[in-house]
Order: sequence, then structure tokens, then C-alpha cells
Amino acid sequence: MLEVVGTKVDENLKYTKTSEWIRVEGDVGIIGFTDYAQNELTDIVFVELPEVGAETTQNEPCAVVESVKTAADFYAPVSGEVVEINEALMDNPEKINEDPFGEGWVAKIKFTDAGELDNLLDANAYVAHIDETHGKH
Amino acid sequence: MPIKTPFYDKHVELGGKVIDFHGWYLSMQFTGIPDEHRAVRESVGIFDVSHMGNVIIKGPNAKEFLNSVLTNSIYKIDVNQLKYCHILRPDGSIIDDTICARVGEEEFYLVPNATMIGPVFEWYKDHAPEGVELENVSDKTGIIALQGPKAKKVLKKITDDDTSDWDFFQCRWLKLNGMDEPTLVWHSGYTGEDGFELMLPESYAASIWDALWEAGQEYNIKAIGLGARDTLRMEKGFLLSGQDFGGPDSGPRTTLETGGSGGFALKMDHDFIGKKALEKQQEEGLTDMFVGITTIERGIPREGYPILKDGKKVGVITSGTMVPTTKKGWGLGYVPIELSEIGTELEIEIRGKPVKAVVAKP
Repeated sequence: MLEVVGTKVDENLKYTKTSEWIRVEGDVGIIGFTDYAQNELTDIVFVELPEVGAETTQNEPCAVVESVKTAADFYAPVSGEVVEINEALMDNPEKINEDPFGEGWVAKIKFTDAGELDNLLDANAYVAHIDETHGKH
Repeated sequence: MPIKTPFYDKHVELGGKVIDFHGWYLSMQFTGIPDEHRAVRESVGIFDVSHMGNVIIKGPNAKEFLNSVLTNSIYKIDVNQLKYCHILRPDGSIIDDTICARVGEEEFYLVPNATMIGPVFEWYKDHAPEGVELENVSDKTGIIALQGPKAKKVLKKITDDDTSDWDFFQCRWLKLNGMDEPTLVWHSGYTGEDGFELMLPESYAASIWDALWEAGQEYNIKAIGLGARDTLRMEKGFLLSGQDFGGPDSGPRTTLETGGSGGFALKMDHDFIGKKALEKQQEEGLTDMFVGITTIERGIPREGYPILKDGKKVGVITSGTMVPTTKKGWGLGYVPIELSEIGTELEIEIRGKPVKAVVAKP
């Protein structure tokens, strides 16, 4: 595990600049919020998930999470079709805080263009990006 | 540069997420909003509210003057009594809300909201007649709010002075933790729980925080940030200046439209600036009323979200959250008076979708 601003970054995942991660398994990507993202959001109390079968577009919002204080969009790391959602989050959204890279996963997406993965950051690039932008917005 | 309150080091030591809040360094949260909210409802929390203003108004004509600019009946206030009041423009719209304490025969102590200290102080100055002295001591005063069912037990541990038979909305001068001089302590708060607000000279402020923190350990005292301060007041339906009135979503509002906090803020038994406008509004009939709304379907109301009735926009949410203890979506806002009865079914538009909600008592 790498670290940035006191939060963990898994070397084996790919990242967006908006702090989502994707774990590629064949032609499906499991997606979720990074540890940094959940820490910035603070206690997550509500999620609005996409429906299974919905289409996602890379870098477009596909879910919403809310803390007590505010609502935030979750951006799809890849374009494709939602094949599974983490329904456990509906009753226990705090799993995103507790285990962002594990039980706090958000959805699984069957991606349409593996080439899009090249647009994403690797762990080191993500750490550099957060180091540069943290506290600036 | 934002102002550091006398408790700035406490924010840092306790791991607060410090932000620039309207020009003051204050923590949004410490251990987390739900955790902090619960602590105040169940035990005790300590807040730095030094950004609030401190204004002293005194002199032989002070009482009469305040009676003429505040919505509550200051002419009837006893020494050591507090009253919650609104300050109105001649058109009846609220400039700010404030608590006014009579701290001596001819001396009053008022706490305006942080962002309104300047405008309110100017307003008082512009309207004060001869024989009224005004002093803004906001920069020399640290304020601690100690709130929760265990607040009194904690306060008692740091003073030898008498804290018994002390009604809510009464103030006392207490020597705290070995202070040479007594300081002003209000039995009041913004959480709906029992609690106190301590007006502390800058030089003593940090040591009093430490003493309360230590005294509160047996009750698992928590430091409370701005986030939980907001959810605590929202749950009880308390107005936030610049948001629930005089804000971008609320627009200008009169005391009557806010419900006058159930008569708690408003007494029509004396003349004050704005009274004529309120009488006129009363005669013509109110059109809007401030209400609490709870969601029935999943969803969290937020400031600016439209309130709908049968799909048609009828109002707007001015404050909204999920109440951490009940986990219910909860909003405050203005609706047409005919839709303001408890139990009225409405919808709140959340991200383009109507979510069922109902008018409810805070």
C-alpha cells in the first residue's frame, strides 16, 4: 500500500483524478471510492446507486453519495454497462468509510472499450495528483 | 488571514478539520458529525463559538432603546434574564436574530451572529439616542458553548459558586477554575439541549476550555464542530441567520413568516422598528410559513432544493440534512400557509426527482 495525505492507495488499482478506483477482472471493472475520497467526504450516510443495466460514460456521474453535510457525485472510471451494484451500501453506506477498497465497492461495470483504461492514473500518478491538489479546492 | 480564536490550539490538538468559516479558523468536525451530534444529545459536547459577536449596550436609556429595536419585550426583562429577539428593518424583514441579556440595572449584553456583527453594531449605533453607550467586545472575548444533558454536571466541577436553582435563559457571574474575577455564563444554547454559553476574557479562555475538557472526561465529552452544530440546530428547527432568513434561498423574511419561534421571539406589546409592517402583514394575512419537513422516501433535502405539491413548485428548502440520530432526511423551508399544517404531504425535488415528504414538528 502507498500513502497519500495519511490515506491508503492500493498499488494494484487504476485511478481517476476525481478519486475513484477500478480493479480490472477480465472485461469487468469493480469500481469504488478511494480512501482519500472517503476521508474527505467524512461519514457517508446515503448512497444513490445506478440500476443494473444502466450505461456509464467515462468521467460522467453514475452514482451519488452523501455525507451529513453534503452530496457528491461518483464518476464512472470507464464507459460500459452496470452488471452488479453493491446493494449492501443502501443500508450500510458507512462501509465506504470503513473499507473503501473492499466491502465499500460501489458497482461492477462491463466495459466497452479497454483502451479507456489508458486514460486512468496508476497508483503513483494518483498519489502525485493528490499531493499536488490536496487542500487547493 | 482568518482570525484565530483563543481556542485555535485546541482545534489543532484535537484533530479538528479546520476551515476558514466566514473569516475565522474553526473546525468543521472533530470525531465526525454523527458521533458529535449523538454526544450532545446523550451526554455533553464543547463548542468554540467565538466567532459570534459580543456587544455591550449600557446607560440610563439602554433598556428603552433596546425595547425599540428588538421584537421581544425588553421593557419587562429582569436583571440576569435572557430574551431571544429579532432585529427588524422598517419593512419587517429580519436583519439578524440575537439573544439579549440584562446583566445589570442599566447594562445589556447581546450576541449577534458572526457575519452580522458589523451591520448590527452599525444599526444599533445609528438608532441609539443620547444616554446609550455601545461597545463591541467581540475581538476580546472567547465563547464556549457547553451543551448536553450532562453540561451542568461538568460546569459545576469547575466552580465553587452556586449553580443550583438556575433556570434556562438566566445568566450568572461565576468564578471558574480559579479565575480572579467572575465571568458571564448564560444558561442557554443552540442545540435544544440543556447547556451553557460562557463569555470568557481572552486571557482565561484556553485554560477554561482545558478545565472543562478534563471535568468532562467522565462523561466522555466530545469537541463539537460546525457540522454537528448545524445538524443539532436544524433538528430543533432553529433559524440560521443568512440562510433561513436573509439568505439566497430564503430571501428576506419577517418574524411572522418564521413563525416567531412560537411567540418566543415576538411580543406585540411594545413599539419597535418593523412592528407596523408586521401588523399590516397580520391584517392582510400571511402567505408563507416556515416549517420542518421530513422525507418519507429515501433522500436527503438540501439547501436550495424545490418543495413541490403534486409536482408543482411551492417553496424551497433553506436548510437540510440527514439527522444523524434518527437517520431521517430533514429540511426547513417556507411553504404556502395552506400547506403548512403538520401532516401535510409534499414532495422535495432531489436531483430532478420528486421524493415524498411530510410537514412535521421539529
